[in-house]
Amino acid sequence: MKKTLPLIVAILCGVLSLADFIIPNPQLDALGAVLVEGVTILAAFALLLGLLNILGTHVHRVATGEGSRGLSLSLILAMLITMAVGIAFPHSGTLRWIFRYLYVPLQSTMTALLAFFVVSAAYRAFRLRNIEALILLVTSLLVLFTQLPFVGAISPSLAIIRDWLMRVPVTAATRGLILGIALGTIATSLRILLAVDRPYTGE
Amino acid sequence: MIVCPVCQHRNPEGAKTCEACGASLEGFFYRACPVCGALNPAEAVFCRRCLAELIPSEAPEEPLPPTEAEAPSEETASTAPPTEKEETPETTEEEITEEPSVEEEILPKPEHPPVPVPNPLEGLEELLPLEAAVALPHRAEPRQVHFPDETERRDAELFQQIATEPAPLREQARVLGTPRTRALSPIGRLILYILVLLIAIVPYFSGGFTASWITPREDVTTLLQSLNSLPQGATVLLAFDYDPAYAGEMNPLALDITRQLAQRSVHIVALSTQPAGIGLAEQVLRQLSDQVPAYRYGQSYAILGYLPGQEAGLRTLNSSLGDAFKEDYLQRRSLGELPVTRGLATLADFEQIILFADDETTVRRWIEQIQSRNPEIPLHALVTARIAPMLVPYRQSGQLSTLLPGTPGAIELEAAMGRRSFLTWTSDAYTALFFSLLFIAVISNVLYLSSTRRVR
Repeated sequence: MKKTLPLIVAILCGVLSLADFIIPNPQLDALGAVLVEGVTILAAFALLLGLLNILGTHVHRVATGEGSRGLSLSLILAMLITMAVGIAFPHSGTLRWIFRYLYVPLQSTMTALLAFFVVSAAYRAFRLRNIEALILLVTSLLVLFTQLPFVGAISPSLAIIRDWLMRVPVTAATRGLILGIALGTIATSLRILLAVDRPYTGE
Repeated sequence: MIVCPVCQHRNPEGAKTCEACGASLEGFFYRACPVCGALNPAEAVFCRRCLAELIPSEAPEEPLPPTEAEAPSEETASTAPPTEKEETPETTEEEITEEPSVEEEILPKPEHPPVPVPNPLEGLEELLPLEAAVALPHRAEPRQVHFPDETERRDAELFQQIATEPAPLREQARVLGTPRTRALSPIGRLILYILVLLIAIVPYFSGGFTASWITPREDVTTLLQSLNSLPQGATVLLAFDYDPAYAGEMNPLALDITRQLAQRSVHIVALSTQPAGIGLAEQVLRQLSDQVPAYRYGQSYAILGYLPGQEAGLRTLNSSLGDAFKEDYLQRRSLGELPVTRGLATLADFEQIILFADDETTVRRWIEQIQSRNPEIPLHALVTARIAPMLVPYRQSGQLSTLLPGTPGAIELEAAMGRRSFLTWTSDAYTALFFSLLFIAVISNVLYLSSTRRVR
């Protein structure tokens, strides 16, 4: 019963959701809406659970002295201050200030560091060791050049090349990926629906 | 070969009793394969393991005529005096075989000779030997016990030791770690980083050198026409589904779009399926409100908030706006109270949907859950340049009305709108980046080729 009940519930929910998606029926729609609402609530709880997990991990680090205690302490303090301000004054200027002048710049800085890594990596990747490296170099520079906003003014044929690159080779590769993802999704769904995979029981 | 069911002794073909224990082999079921030794049913034609032929090809009925040297003529046989061997008939082979065995004497002889069963495959040639493999059920083979010798025992112990003993951390690091290759000297790296810095600050002193050459791509023109075709008072749904990490790339584009909508008095309703996205929506729309004072919260635009649940959340949004959001994000008022959201029940009440995203999965989710069910509502995807190529198939299929990559899209959009701002000047940074990478490629190869020659 311990294993059978989750199995029945999972299969029933899956089949009902699938039927709701495929069959236009008011009763099924209502049932599907209830299930979907349940998922939304669970997802919100998962977010809370993730927050508590991070908090627990860093509290443990501070308590036991594992890793960098100072960084863990900063994380806990920042988290608690932001939460306190957000819960007590959700639309205050303080919260907006934290978001605008701390959170956004820090995140943007992390992404901006990629520019340094990319340029550093380009130095190595562009070496003409073999024919593959030559193809990589030529393609990279061509794509970069055609992406320039004024390339159409230099020559209309460059804009045509840019569009062709996007429409033919890029689309071909991307379509292959998308089809692969779709097939994988179907296979995974069927495995869960037929109880071959049972992630909800930890198997 | 027939295997005795009692003692497993392998008897020759045609044996009726076991040579070892004397048990009867009449009607016994198993027949051992002469090639691999597997046991097969007595009626099997081919071995079920190796498909070798089990019933040996029939021996010629008449024995080959003996050679003259071997076979004495009848005359010599009758007239020749008996030799010493012939005088002792008990020891001759012929007489031993001719004598009935003890078992044959004891066991009753069948009254009628056995009727030969015709082989169904007899006479058929060039057939694949699948009959045995297909027709016969699987039977377990007798277990053969193998005792490992000293070498095998040591190998097993060594394997167990390697498999179970945890390696010390230092040893793991030594084994798994890749050797450090020093590709660039610290000075070289410093030069590259200074180059990146120069690229970033190019627009501050270049003065929009390339701005006048910018030519908007087709999607930019299409998006602008689509926005300009919206009637006054129409409502557009904006999804701010990007992370603050990409705010530098996406915020200018979002601001351009919202400004264009505000100038045409089109209402905006914003939401996000990312927790941090709603903060960005607030930031952009507040900035817009500062630039266009007549565009006020609640009257012209509203922020619904964060929509959790990913696919599930979007499905709820698709069925009913009121089910997804009970109240707005900033003023905590029900959607019926705000003039801008009053009368909005489903997605069909929106003229267009504009999606700002930094992740292809998010765009795919919107296409699957929203666009597929509302194909009449145009869906524009304004995304980071990183993911734009991944979404080209959706643009080609028409599921996306337009697809614009982040900063290049914003630059071209401003050019199409006839605006000249600092954003347009970033076109110079793009140009500088391209020529810098070209320069890096040349320098890298010159140094590489010179070092290779020196080694030779």
